[in-house]
Amino acid sequence: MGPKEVVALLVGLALLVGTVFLPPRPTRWVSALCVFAAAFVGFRIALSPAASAVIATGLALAAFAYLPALAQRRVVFLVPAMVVLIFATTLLMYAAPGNPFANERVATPTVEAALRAKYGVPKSATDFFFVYMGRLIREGTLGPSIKVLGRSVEDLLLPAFPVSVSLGLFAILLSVAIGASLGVIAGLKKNSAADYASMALALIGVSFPNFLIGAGLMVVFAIWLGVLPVAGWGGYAHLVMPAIALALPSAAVIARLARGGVVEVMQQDYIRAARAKGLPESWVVVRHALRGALTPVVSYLGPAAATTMTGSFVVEVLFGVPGMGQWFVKGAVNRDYSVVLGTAIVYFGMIIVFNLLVDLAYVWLDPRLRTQKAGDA
Amino acid sequence: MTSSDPLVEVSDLAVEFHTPRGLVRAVDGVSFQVGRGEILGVVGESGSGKSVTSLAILGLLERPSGRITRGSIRFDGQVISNLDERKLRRLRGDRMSMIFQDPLTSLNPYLTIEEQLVEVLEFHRGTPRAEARQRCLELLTQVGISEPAERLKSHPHQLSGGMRQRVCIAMALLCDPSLLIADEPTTMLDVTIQAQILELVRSLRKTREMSILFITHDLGVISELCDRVIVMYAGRVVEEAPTAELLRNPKHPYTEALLESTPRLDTPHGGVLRPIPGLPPRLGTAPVTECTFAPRCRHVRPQCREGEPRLLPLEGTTRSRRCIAPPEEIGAD
Repeated sequence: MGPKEVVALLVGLALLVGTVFLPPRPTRWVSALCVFAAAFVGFRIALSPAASAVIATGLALAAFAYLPALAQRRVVFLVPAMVVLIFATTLLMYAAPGNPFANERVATPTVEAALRAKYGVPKSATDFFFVYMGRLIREGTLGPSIKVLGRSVEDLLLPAFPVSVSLGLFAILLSVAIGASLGVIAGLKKNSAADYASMALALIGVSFPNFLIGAGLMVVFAIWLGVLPVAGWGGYAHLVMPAIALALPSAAVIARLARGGVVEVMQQDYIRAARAKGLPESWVVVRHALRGALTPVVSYLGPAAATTMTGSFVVEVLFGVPGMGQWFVKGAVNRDYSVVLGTAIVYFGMIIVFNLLVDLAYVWLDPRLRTQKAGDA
Repeated sequence: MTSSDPLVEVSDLAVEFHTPRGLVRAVDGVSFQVGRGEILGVVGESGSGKSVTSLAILGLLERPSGRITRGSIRFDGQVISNLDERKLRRLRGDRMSMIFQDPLTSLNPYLTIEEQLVEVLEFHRGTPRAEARQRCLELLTQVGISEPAERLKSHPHQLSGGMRQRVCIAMALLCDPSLLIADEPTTMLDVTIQAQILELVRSLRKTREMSILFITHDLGVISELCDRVIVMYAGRVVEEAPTAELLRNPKHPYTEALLESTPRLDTPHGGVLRPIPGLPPRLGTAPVTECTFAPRCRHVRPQCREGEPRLLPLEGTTRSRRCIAPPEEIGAD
């Protein structure tokens, strides 16, 4: 990693921070532009240039007109962040010892040069970044895999994508279900046995890494009890243990957030006022308290998605799930640069989309954010 | 039952709270009545037990930390201080309702005005939605809200402070309660809005024959609104009198001191405001061996230290007080 590259990275990061200070009106325009760029490149991988241009234009217009200010600001940050992420990942890959061709038996300089030209892997990280980005934008491809002969990165990732997405979504749903219910019960019965029990459970969830939870689950449910398959993919039974292993760490955080939210909201004047109206306690909790109490949980869903997805690298490999995690791990071990970048882009893209959904949900939940103009955000 | 029976009768009420610093008796031996159609003012400084008393009437004391340990509350002839939560809930918001100090925080920011109003009628009366909505529109108009249909769709943050308090009042009146408890409803509002809200409360009393328990620390508000006043100090009623008499001629040293510490328009220029020295006593549960106001009292005498005086009627008047000093010594005469 040369000094120039480090400087470029720092400038990129500074620009990212700078987006925070972008005034409201340009934010609207730039966000539409960012949506267009991201959508165009994203759909290019699967569709023709014309079709993806049409879809991207539609999405950009929709974003310009309807996206809440909060979410527009998020787009303006996240899409350039994707470019910085690709650059940073490139630098890190090149900084790691070895290269894709280091293990080849015939590694004469001429052969290596030919291979590098064929796969688009120049010797300098910056050159690789430009080759990669150019290919991504012009040809709409994540590039050929260097180690899996004759296959492009999208060929490898496309079948794995639905697997990872279904596992990830199921894990997030599970973490919300477990975390929110434990947290709400704990918050309503503050300092009771139920409170201590669920917070102890949350502490376990936070403290143990997911692969340890996964291994523990395997031992108990697959080996001792024999009720679930040890590993593999196919039926719903295969989904259970990896999803739990992925869900528990986030569930623990969600439980703590939900408990805090409930405790705080139940002390609000409007809860006492609702009781003074003669409403049943269950209605007071469900109708008047939960929405406010669970907004911190919703705002955590973005980071939770990130935790779950990165967690799935390890958990997928542990449980032999044919998702994208295996390609990330294999790609990193083999120094298969384009595979590593491809998985990183897909994961980060999913995190972006999830964060936007969370922002939209947030605005939908809290009416006070709805009337805000871009300038107040 | 005759209509001359009081609507609310609080007798010898004591309320205790468990706090991190130990048991606190926030209200101790409070007795008073609210007549039908009467506005009773409750005045006292923070921590004097006025809000706790009102929450006890509604059965809204935070359980399990706060509870009634002595005495009783009767509402419309029925003892309600020992009712279970289900029965109390049917009274709250229906026969008796409450408006709170801060209209912003006592409206739920996540729900529209309509959602918050309609649910009262749905739970107490089972009114169908469309009909309930109609009733809400009527009440919003009555409390002086223009474009009530628009306001129903709004969220609380889209309304001004005065408007929010009007909404709270409309909410409290939906079921035609016989008792309205107002806990410092004007404290958080601008002075001009305060005057409007007080005017509204006054006109509501006229049109509805509703009893109002009006809690405040503002003697100016008391003088404008209330028929009768009780003055609370350290969880006790120290004086009770018709408003005009109390303000003109206090007969308890605390009331006297309170009046002297309040600016008024009718005192001559150069009139000096006299703060009350010292602080209110810390409320514990230890037996009281002296008058609770004695440490701050200007008229204190050795007998005040020998035991707490009782709240006794003042000869030849309709008022009572908790003091042993000769009445001539205190107040105007």
